[in-house]
Amino acid sequence: MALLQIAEPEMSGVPHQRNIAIGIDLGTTNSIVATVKSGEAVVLSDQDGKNLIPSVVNYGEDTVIVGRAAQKLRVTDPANTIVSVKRFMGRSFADLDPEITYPYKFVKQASHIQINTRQGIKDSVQVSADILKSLKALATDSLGEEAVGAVITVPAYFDDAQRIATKHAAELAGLNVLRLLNEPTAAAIAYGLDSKQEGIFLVYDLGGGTFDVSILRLNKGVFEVLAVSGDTHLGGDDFDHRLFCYILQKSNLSQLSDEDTALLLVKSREVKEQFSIKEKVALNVVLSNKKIVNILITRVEFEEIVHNLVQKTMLPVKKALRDAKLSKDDISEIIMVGGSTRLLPIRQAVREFFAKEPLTSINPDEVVAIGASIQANVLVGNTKDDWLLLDVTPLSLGVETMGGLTEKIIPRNSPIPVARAQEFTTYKDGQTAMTIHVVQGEREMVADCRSLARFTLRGIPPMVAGQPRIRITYQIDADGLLTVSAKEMSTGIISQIEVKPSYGLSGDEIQSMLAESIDNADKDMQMRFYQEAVVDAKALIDSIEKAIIQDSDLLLDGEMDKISHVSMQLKVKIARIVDDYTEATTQIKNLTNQLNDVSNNFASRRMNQAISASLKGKNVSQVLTENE
Amino acid sequence: MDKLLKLNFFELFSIEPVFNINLEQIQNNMRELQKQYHPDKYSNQAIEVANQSLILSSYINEAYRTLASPLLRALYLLKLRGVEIDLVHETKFSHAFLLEQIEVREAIDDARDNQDFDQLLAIENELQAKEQKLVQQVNELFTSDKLELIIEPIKQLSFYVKLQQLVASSIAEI
Repeated sequence: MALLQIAEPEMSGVPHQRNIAIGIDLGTTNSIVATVKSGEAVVLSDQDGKNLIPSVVNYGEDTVIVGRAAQKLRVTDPANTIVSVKRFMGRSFADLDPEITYPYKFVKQASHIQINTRQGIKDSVQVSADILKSLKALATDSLGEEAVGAVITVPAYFDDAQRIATKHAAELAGLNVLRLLNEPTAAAIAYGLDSKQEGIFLVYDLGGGTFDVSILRLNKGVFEVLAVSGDTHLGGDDFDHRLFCYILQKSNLSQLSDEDTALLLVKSREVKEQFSIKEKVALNVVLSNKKIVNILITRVEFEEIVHNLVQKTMLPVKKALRDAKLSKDDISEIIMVGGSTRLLPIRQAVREFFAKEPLTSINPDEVVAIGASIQANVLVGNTKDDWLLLDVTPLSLGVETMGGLTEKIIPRNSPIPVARAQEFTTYKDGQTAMTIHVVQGEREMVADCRSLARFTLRGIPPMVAGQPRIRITYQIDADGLLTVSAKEMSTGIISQIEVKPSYGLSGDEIQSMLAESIDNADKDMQMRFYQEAVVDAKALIDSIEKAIIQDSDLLLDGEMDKISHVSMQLKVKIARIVDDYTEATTQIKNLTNQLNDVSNNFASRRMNQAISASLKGKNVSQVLTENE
Repeated sequence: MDKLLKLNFFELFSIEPVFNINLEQIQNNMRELQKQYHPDKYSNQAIEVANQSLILSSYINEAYRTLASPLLRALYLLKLRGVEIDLVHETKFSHAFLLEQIEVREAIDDARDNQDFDQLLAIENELQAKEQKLVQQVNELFTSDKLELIIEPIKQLSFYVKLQQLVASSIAEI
């Protein structure tokens, strides 16, 4: 046996093994993957040399297509081509904006958003997992090996349900999630660590579907998030939609087919993007009913159409400044993130508000993925850079009290991780159970907040009302995810509870989905090896049993016992229900070999007897022919 | 890490247990402590160690929150000296004070209903000015060690803090 070689601690001249870590910006419209290579963050590109992978998934007859190829199918196969799935994460059908028409067949009674596709029902977690799988494959192809871990970015304003859904999608795609990172924070990391400049940064992040504002301070290697604000229902898609409505109105169109709606939405986006370089844009489209749309839109018209949307982004900016107890003059730099910040009216509004030129030197589409890859690189221990990120929770956490009101336990913008405890008591004599309802949001009424979990604490020792002391601890970890535990304090009886989220998937569901997604071919192969081993074993048992009946006089003392003992073990093993085919195959093969061993001498004796019997009165050639 | 969890907040931040503290200093101390004990520094370690860092890092944040807030700091300091104030059941206030409370609450509700961000900011500024005066008073009473007189301004302080929280949640709502 070869011994392992271990070098003396001081002598280990081999350079530290580099762990590949990736940062993924899982965007509403596009997704990007980046990594840090020899100290520099780089965006990875696919075989066509493209960095931006459209977050679009098409479910074909027996294919799952992601990216640009899926984007093309959006017009011809809208019902099976899922776009902007990020808007559905951690959401139920009731949460959908009734003003937006979707070309999908939603499963309406489901607790979370599910879409009936050609390949059956898919929920938002599965669709996102398909995007992440494709990004993971891109990274593996590009880097030549699999990443040990990934940092995935989420909008700062994502609530617990949306964060958990994102984490589940990543796990389902087989990624080791090092951290969920807020997108604006990632952008600030990319700029801040790039310039090594200390100060206060405001990140203005307008993506496809969400708008986030974050204010961060970089001081002595610590990145501190001071405030987070935003609007989860505002993004570039809304600009497309405004333009789309304007085009309909200007061309007197109504009652479009799903295909034409999809086509015009794609065209609206193209028109919008052209306004960053053109004064006027001509639109020329032929609809499915051969009707031609031919209009000219000027930049002034465009600015008018989107004026309200642009102004809508300034309120979260003001709120964030107020939360951080800062004025706009305190901001050293404004960082622009998200493809929508290329729009000129947006840049103009920001420039006017701060009387300062916003930073745009890093590609606004890539900056988040770059920041995520820098954080991922630190978390896997590749760098000695001594910097730290202190983030906050974007939404208040509370519990329901009498009358359906919310009592805040952890206010928004609290630095995380954070743990806070609260004591409750009973209302009636002998009460042994109580229900606790945890919600997230800023509104006074529980009904207006998002329900996170509702659980019943049982096993409270029966006492006079008001005597038990139940201590509930709410812990938010560095990913922004919540766990709740409870203890009865007065008697020392501890009843620990675990909160099951009232949305999304349970851990077991993820496990079973993961198991299903493991390559079926591999499983089939294991199954076949198993069946072959069983057939061999059965044949051996069969032949030995027949031999014993025929030639029991040839058995030596104790030989019969040994043979039947092993043979019985093998029969039991074959009859047993299998959950691990590889292991069962090995066990059956081992027992088959043992049975061969213990019956070997008996078989030889029979063989000798048979030969001598058959040779009586026959010549050699006859024996040979008979034995053929 | 276990040892640090047994320290009180002042000990944890290596500062004297007094009311008049240097905010910038505790900010720096908080950053230094988090640089050592934040879960990100333990992400590659055994789950027990990672969990301990989660608990300690949360404890550091709680200590910072308590020390940075004049009201929480005053209550915590009194508790260390064996004085517990039950703010929930302290309801004796002057007529004028209660009337003012009601007026401010109505003003906040109106501003919220009108979605008036600037008006809410103006109310908040007034409340902060009043809070500042009470903090000054509390500071003097701590310095001169007249703890028997300190409960009244702390009670009032707690009301101004509550009103500011109401402003904050109103701003978040609009």
